[in-house]
Amino acid sequence: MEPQATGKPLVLVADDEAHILHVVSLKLRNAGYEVLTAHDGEEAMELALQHHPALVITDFQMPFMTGLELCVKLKQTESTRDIPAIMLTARGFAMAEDDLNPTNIAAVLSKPFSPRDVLAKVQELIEHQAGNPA
Amino acid sequence: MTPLVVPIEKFEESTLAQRCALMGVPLLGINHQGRIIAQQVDDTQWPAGLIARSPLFAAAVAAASGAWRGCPESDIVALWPGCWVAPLPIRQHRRNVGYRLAMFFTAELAGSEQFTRICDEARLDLAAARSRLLRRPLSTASQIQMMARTLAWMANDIDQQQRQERELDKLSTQLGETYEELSLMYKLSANMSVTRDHQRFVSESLDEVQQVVGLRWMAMQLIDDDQRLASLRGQLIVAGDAPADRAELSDIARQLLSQFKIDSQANIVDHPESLGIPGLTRIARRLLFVPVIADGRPLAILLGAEKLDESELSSVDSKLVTSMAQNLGIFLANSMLYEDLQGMFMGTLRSLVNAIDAKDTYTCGHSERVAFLGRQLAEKAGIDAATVERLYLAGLLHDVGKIGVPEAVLTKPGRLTDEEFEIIKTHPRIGAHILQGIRQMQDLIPGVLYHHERYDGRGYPDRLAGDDIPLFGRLLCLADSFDAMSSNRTYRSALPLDQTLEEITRCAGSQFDPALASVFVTLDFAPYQQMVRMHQQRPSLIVQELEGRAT
Repeated sequence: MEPQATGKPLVLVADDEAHILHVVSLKLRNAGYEVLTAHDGEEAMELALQHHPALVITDFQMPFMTGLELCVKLKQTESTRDIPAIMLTARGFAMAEDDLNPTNIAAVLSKPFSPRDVLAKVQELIEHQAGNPA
Repeated sequence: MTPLVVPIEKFEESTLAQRCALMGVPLLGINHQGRIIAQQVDDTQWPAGLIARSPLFAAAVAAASGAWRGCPESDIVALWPGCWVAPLPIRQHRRNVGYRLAMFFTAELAGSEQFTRICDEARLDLAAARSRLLRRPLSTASQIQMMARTLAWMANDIDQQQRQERELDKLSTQLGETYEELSLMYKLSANMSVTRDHQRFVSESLDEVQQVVGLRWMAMQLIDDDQRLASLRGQLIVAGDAPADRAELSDIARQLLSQFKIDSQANIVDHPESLGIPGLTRIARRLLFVPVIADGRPLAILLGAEKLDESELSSVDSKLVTSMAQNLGIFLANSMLYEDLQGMFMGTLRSLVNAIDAKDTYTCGHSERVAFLGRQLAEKAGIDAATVERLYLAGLLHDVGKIGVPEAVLTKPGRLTDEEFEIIKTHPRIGAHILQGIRQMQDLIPGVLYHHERYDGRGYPDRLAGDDIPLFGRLLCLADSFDAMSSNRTYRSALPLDQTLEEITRCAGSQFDPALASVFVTLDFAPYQQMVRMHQQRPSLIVQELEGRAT
């Protein structure tokens, strides 16, 4: 698989729950995005380093590396520091400002989320990025 | 006629074709009639191309293919000595709609009559062709058999995997829709507070549902004949790409509401012309409508046009719209109850204020002016809007205790004796007692009880001082004293504004909270003076009534 060969924007989706991966990636693929999926934070980090996605969507609770740790690491790493992220969390889990500061998390959506809202956020962030090349 | 399942341009993209290419196995596609429709053969696979292009081979395939049909797992087939094909079924919904043929050759091909004819037709030297064929690494029939089985299993596995992927996609789509509905319902109910702007709530709800269901437009028409919910009565609220002629849309909605039986389930109308409502077909190709029922009767109708993606309106769509109508019904019913409660509360409060006015006609409008000034002061002092509104109510009620003070004392012309003054001084406590029993007015009591306390502690009833006096008490004390000085009393006439303000400043720190007093003197008194004039010209209805009776 050569994810970037198609010229479509590449989105990396990380979640340890298969059904979330399916719902999100199907919605994004149908809207014309290329999607890569990871089942934990570590895999997501490896894929991000290899493929440089335009955006990362991540769950908070994941084995090996949480979504927050992943986002901190993405921002600390030279080649991935500008990738924006969307965090999906279980309802009621509030992210503190201090948690978000060392990351590029641009939006926090609570589960169960509306796939339409996720897509709208992705489009907004990727368009914004295209408008202001990093 | 069954369409070709594997379009020729996509044939080579299939996983099986790609793997056969890697293994060097020539592959053909044939349709259900046995006609060859695709080839994936290259020169390194000679003589596969030569044979596959020959009419002889095409005829042999067509003749043999009849026997494969209906057999789910075909074995390898010898079309003639040394020329083998392994038919791998192409399935659609468990039916064979064509085959992929993997081609194999054994050494017998070189001696076959058919090979001779094909070489002749292609003007090839037969001896050279034979020796070229025999120089190639050829398999035995049993090796071909094994290879074909492996390919058949693989084809089967790939089919199954693809079927499962399609199923998974379908499930994911459905799950996505469920998430969408769930999050919609959550949003609608989370916003369902009766204190919200009604029109905005309805409008936002319509927007959400219109987008989630994917309808071209949605609208809600409310009935006109309910006295409550003034902001919504008779309104048409729309979302999406609604018809430009709102009057016509409104008219159509009203007709639907009046003509069709009240069923709390949404109606899906695939042929709007069948309803016989003029103009309806111009605004919707398909229609979905449901009444919004509150208090057991239809209060509004919700309608939506066809879907943006041209798909049919489904039971899922109707269920979502029905849930929304039910939610809106509950919202409207609750809002009406809330309005009733509010009305009851304000009515009670007004009647108390009127009771004070009736008792002491001379100070007519005093309560209203104190409430007004108190609110003006509180706003300027930077107090939050909700507290300011409560202070206004406390201002209206601050003298309610005067109901319990004898009229002879209350309206006595001239100076009061010490004894009479002691009686007057009971009114804050009487007022507090009157309000004690009304839970919704508990927070107003400090304003009523303490509006005669002084900052220096020499006031009444409790001689509280400084910040021990509750805020409402300190605010209303200023407003009350100002209005008293600015109006004619039985024992003196009104002071002009500049003198009143001087008096306020002089008493800052003794009678008044100095910080609040310094804000007070900066207020704009024009609206207050306007109010005074209005009260002089047109006393409240109660006062008019009382005066009318007296004459």
